[in-house]
Amino acid sequence: MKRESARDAGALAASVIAGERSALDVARSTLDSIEEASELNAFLSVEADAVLERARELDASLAAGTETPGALFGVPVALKANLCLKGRELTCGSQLLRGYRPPYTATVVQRLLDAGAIPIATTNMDEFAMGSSGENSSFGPTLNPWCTEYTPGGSSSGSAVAVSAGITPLALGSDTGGSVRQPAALCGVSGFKPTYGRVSRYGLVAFGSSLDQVSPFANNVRDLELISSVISGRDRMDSTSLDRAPIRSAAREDLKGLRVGIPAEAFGDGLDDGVRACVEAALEQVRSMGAESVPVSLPHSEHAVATYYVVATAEASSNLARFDGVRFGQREDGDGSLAGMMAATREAGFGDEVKRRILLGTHVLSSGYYEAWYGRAQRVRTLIRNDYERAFESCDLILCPTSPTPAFRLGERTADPVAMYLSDILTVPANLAGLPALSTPCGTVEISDSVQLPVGLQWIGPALADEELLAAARCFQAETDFHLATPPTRGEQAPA
Amino acid sequence: MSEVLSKTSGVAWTPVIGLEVHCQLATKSKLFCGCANEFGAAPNTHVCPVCSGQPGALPVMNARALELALSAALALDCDIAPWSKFDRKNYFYCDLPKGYQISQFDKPYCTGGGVELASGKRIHLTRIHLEDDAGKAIHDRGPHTFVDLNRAGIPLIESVTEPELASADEAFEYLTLLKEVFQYVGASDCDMEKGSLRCDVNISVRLPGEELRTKVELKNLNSFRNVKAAIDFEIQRQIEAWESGDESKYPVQETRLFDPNRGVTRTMRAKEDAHDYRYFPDPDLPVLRVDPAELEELRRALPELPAARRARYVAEFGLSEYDADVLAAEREVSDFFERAVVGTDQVKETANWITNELSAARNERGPDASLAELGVTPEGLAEMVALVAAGTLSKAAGRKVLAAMIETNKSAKVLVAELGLEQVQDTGQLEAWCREALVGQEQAIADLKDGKQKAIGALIGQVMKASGGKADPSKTREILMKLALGDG
Amino acid sequence: MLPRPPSPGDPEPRAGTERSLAYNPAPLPSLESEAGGPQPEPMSNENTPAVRKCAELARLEITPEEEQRLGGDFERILEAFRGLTELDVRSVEPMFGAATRENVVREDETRASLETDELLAPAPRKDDGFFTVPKTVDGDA
Repeated sequence: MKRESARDAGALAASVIAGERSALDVARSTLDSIEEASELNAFLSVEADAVLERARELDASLAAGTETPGALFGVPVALKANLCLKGRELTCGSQLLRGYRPPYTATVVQRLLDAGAIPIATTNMDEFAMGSSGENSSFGPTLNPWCTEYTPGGSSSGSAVAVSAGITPLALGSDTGGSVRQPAALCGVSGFKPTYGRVSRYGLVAFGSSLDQVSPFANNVRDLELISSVISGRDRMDSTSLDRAPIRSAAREDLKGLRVGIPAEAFGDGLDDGVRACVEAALEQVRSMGAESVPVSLPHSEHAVATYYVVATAEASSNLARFDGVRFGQREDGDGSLAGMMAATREAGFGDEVKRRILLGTHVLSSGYYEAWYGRAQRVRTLIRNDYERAFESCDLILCPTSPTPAFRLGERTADPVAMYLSDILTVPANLAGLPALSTPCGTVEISDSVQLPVGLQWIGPALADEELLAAARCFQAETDFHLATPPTRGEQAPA
Repeated sequence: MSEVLSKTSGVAWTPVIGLEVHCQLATKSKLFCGCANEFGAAPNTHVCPVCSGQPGALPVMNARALELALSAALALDCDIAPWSKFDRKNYFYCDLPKGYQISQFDKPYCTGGGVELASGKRIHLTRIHLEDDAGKAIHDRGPHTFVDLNRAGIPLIESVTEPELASADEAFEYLTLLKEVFQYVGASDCDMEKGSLRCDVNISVRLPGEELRTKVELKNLNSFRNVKAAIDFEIQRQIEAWESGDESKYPVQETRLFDPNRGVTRTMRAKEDAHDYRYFPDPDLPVLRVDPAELEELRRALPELPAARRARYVAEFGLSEYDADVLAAEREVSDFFERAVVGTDQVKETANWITNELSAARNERGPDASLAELGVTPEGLAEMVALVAAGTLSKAAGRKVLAAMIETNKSAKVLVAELGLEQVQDTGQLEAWCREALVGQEQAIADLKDGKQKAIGALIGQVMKASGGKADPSKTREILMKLALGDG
Repeated sequence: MLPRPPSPGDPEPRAGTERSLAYNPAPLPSLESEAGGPQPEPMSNENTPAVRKCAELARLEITPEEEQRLGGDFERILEAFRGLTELDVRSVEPMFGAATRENVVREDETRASLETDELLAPAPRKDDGFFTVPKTVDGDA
């Protein structure tokens, strides 16, 4: 199997369409890679028969020549375990949904199917998307391919690793507070969260409804553009879906004339030195490519994590109420009453972090506390959004680190929820403000002689500027090779 | 001010009653998904990922539901809010698939408005809001509770009155008028038997001039009659409880269910836990803004409402208040009547044919039958009425013709010819029958000469029999009288 | 002010040793200096959130051990978020979600529903075309 095409979706689709490889061959080698990498625990369930059957159908349709092959023809795409594909087990990383097979398919997944992709469901994740390391999965944590003693980040852990380990060239995750960008940074791949509303949420199991976006992973920005053009665009099944055309590549040759905002608040004391060095070097590179950097201020940054957790947990406490043992999922009888059944089912089915967040969310919405917490957080959210609007008056996009630290060790932050929450400090603002944001690799930090850990550079744009944002990052990747670095155990190219 | 006398002490108490009425809107599909809005279907056959709360499913609002809700509000003179939003009302129950109801909390789509009772007293509405219905939990089908989600997601409007009703009769009247209005604008068929109208009562009693006392909620009222009975019972129950002098017996704030078999209310829960629904704006649904131009369109498209029609029937057509009430009560009937009297002066007669014969025929077909099903058009009825007015048909024959019109859908003229029901008005023929009838009726003749009109009935009957029902009764009477009085 | 995440070799974080990523945060206006207007409830340490009450509302049958542990987490989290309660937001409009559209509606048309067996397939208990649950007399769970 050509290693390059395992990391280049565009090239892979082209070669299948050209008849150089069959979809069946691609499917088989993907299944083999999944098997070989099973130690990483990136996949929860893979129905090999369904995958192979899909590949055969694609080959047959290509031979029949009845339809134009779609843009992702023959490309395997890993799906996070919270994206519905009819009839395939969907657990959201939770014991509560063991065995659940949704009776319908998510819009984004259907669009992948219509484009000829081979969905590989499902990848491991923090339970119900609540976590920043993958350690909240009830099926065991996913391991970082750069060093298996480290977490890959979360909550879209498995999807990040599928791409990072070269198993699939593309993966879908969901980003509510950084759950795609942060693991992208920690695993050395590119991850993109669109403007809120540009990609349908129909069929994405909801966590924080006003924050969630289906977000893709890839090894390069061109592939992010490719998959974004397939999955984005108005969906009449989602009332929050914007009436805009799908995301298309924007033309851009270089970064000349680009004004890049650098927020002081993102470079404060809490930033790891190694991360600071990589990011500042990347900023130098950006400047040398013709961009002008401009200092900007986002004064309400320090309240972003609190605001995010109040809003997200409130919405989650409501979104997860449907898991009551009545219509789907596992059921525990409890004391035999209806209320008892529900309480026992949820107690047994949810892990600690989920319970913590449901309790917190219930509290911030409860009578007497609403204005003090949820009502207030919704106002601070406006302040944060206004900070960015003001900043974008003097720049075209904002650059900063994606994560304050590189990947951290398994178990390092599990004792203190607040410490874990702070992993998201640089990513949550884009969700709060509904802005497009992506993370691209910008070097590695040397932890020891044998261990390098990747660092991510975050690009944040004004609302609806998805195309321009991606174009700038694409130009950056055309002139640099940070994104070509692969984890030592699986890739064939040594880090630059 | 309405008063109820205590059955034990004779003291006059004032009931304070407010009603919360839920009406299902008459849309084709549910509020947030495309499942059919249909009563009586086999269980769990109109359910989709959205209304069954499958993980990942999302709501999309039904435009027609908003239109009907606005029409209902306009018909009640409500103040329409320029914008409104949906909130989640969070609680757990087996018939609530999402674990929350999508409702409207602090920004309902309208406020104010009201209904005027016959007495002239106006019952004000506090607000009306939109929300989605829950499924059905059936407890008496077996050893478990059975859940059917067909009803989950059906659009509802909940209208809340100020606590201004003061008697069971007023409550009954209010419900009747509300139902009329909603039916008129096509918002809902308000059928309690089908569950498209549900009513909860909030009730307390107080002595004249006092502050409000503890209020109790009544549920499980499945007919207007039961609403009345429940209120009547509860008023006395509360009065007795207060008059007992025993604090432990005083009414407590609780929810009580009405038992229609025994005619009593009983406690639903030992102690009412105040629900904390943790309302917050539903992030899946954007704000609803009402376009003033579209609102004007809806206002213009409103039909003339029952109260106005009643008044017009009395003033313009000279109908009695009773007749006007009956005709105006249902829009279909009222529209039918108005078309049937176009260009005629047979207003009273037409009204009678509609309220008597046509209504009876409709009722025979079942409780949900419409006038339209009978196959008689307003113009067709008018034709028949005209024939009776012209004397071509006797009233009895008219009834036969109408029955045949319903059965065959043929016109009156055609049927009259087919059935040979034309009234005989030919004096010669009538005289012949009359003479025959008078044979051997010396006593009757004598009575008639004496001024005792009773005897004429049987004689007319004889003539009708001889003529196979076709003799013109009034002409017959004339001729009989002439012959009887003129004879001998 | 939020503590930075711990790294290996760091001393245990103590309450009060808080450092922030803000480069040089300007002090925010405090509530006490504002006159008039409704003041939101400040969060105080005495106001320990009733974890058990929340657990009941959320239908979570937590154990006493969980109540203890999660209760502790609760307090620490809300304390860390304290800064939120000290901001003056009286003149700021809340963001009702992130949706920027209005009046997103669909036509009143029926679409195919799920087949009953499709719908009931994932159900833990079912009977004769219905979902089944433990019997309840009336009211809510």
